Amino acid sequence: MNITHDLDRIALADVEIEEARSILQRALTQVSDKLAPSIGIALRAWVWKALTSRRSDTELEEWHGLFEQVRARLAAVDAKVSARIGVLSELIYESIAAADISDPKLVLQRSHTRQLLTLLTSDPNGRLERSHLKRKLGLQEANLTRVINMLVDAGLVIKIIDGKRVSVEITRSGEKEIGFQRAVEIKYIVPDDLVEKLYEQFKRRLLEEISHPAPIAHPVSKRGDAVVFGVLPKIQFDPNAHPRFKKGAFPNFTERRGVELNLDGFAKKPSGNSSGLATEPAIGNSSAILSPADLLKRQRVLTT
Amino acid sequence: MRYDSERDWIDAVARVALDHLLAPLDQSGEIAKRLIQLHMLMLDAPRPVHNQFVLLTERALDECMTPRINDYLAGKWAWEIDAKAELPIIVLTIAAEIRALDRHLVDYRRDKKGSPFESRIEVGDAWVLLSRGPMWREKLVKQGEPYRRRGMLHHRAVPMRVGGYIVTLAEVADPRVGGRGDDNKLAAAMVHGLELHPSIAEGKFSITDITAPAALQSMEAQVDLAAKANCWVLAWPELSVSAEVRRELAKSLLERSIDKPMPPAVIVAGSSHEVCEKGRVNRAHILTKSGDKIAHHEKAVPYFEASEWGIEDIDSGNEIAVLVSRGPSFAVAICKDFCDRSQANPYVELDVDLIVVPSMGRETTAASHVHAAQDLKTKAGATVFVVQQSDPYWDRSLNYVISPATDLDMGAAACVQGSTLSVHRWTRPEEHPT
Repeated sequence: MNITHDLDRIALADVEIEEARSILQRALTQVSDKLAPSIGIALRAWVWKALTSRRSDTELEEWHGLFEQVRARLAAVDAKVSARIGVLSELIYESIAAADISDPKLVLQRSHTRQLLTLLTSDPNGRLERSHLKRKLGLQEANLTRVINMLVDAGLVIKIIDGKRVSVEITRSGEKEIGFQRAVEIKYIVPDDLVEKLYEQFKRRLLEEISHPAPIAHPVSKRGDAVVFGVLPKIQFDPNAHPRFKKGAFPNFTERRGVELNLDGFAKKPSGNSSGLATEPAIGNSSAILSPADLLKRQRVLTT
Repeated sequence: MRYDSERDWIDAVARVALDHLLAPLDQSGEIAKRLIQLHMLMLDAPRPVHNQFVLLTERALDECMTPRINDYLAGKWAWEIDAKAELPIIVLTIAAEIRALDRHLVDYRRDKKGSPFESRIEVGDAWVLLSRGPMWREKLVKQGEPYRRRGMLHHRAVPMRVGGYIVTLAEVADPRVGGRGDDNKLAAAMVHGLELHPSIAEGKFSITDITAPAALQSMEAQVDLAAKANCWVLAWPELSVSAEVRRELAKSLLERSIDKPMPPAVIVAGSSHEVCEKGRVNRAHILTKSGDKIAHHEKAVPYFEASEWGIEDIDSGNEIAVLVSRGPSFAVAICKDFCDRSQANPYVELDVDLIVVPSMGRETTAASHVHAAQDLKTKAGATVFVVQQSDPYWDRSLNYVISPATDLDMGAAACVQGSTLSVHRWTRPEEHPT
């Protein structure tokens, strides 16, 4: 097999380490002024792919060893290429070191990390501005940077930079690591007056009863021609367990936990769609379509 | 300065607390300095303080540490002791402060990735702080253990001078050592048919040459076996590899086909008497898998044999190299450097995980190594890997290996090694303190 072709396969990250060993050994036995740079280029391309795919598996340790062996062997043939490969192997080492310290379980044992993630989940979009986080956590600037960087390295949050404004957004892994389950976002298209009634009644009752009403006071947002009242976490509140509600007032709560509590998921479509049935895909992870009869039944439950 | 009285020590603690009244500049160096100040206070504390430390529970330490970390994050650094407080309270306060600084420092420097060697912090010219990789905590810490074994969890504090020796640091830049795999294995190699060619005169001896049949080929075969077994360390005994064969071995490692299993990350290529600028030394070379030299160790305590050979004619080494990897740290000692029980063992103070000891001698030598290993384990929680070739003028068949898995209570008889290459598992700790 042509060695250049095989080096290309390494560049494409298309070979297992054992095969890469064998290809590189063949390349080293016939190495020349021309071939040495090709080895360097193939290894550089491999490193780029490993970095961009955020590889952190234990096999990286073997790859690092392989790079070091190639570097040492090329030192006498082409010092320049050898030095370049040395830098590439350092990048692999950096990835290994990053993986060591970015284990989400370890990161979440650090001060303020869990607290920061929990704060982010209080926002319907899971995103808060850095200045807001600083105020809420009471951290000094440099310490906040470190906490955020720890979480970014572990893939639990991402930083969003918009000019001078920096926001932090929780990722799916971040939600999973702290056991947060975002409510199923539901988009209902129902007659305007029914939405108003449902929303007002539900909001009034819950605002009275929930000690921390902030989550349901989300500003209503508009998406296209639908109105979405934000999203509440499923686990926020269980009305059946609350002493101020009659026991069993929400008989369907358990099986429809996400639906019942998710008053903010109600949306209205101001168009003349009198059927009240959604005909477009719902916003969010999943959708639920209720008929007007279901909604009226729900209204009765809520006003009991 | 070692404190003999509790009162003097408490006064010193109060003075350090005054030093720490203000917030440090936002620099890891200053935090490290505070940590070392407290660490030294604990090392130099009188016996009653250590007795109290041993009684501290991990839970109590943890409960006192956490609020302090939150204090630091909020910019509150001052701490104090009530001079009238009971000793246990004072010891808990200072021990928790050490734990808090230790943990805060590791978080503070989290963005400095790379190897622990690269991110080391030098505190003055007396100490170096090295972070312990999160994947490698050698200690399953618990109540009852002394300060040296569980004072700091996230850093090791290496003194730059110990027992009159200068400590130097070298990097083991091979991420397999201390990595996430389960294979932590060490290989001990013996030399078959070893012959020493001594020069004996005026009650002194030196070894002018070391020979063995097919020495290089045997060593290459041993490298192959150690590589196949996925060992981190491969060591040959003291005075078992001549300088010439060692150079050939280095060349062979460099030219070794890369599609063969990778050789161990740390290769201690025996030792030999070499003549260098300062005179004759008994030097062990420490090589990488590609044959590059990482460091060397020169024997400091010469051998003495009363009846015929006399004293080993070498210039004593005055340095100890600490090899820093991503996981454990190592040091190398040659034979009596480690097992000379007439002096305090400097290796106890190094804060390393493993001492690799090429050695040559008899059963009594092995017994001394066992005692020294027990002492090291109790005081510092570190372990040893002794590779001892039998003195060829005594009994060629009795080679000894003391590995981290050796039951030291069984004595030297349990360490007899029959084969020319043996692989020993270094069991990894099961729990990682956070």
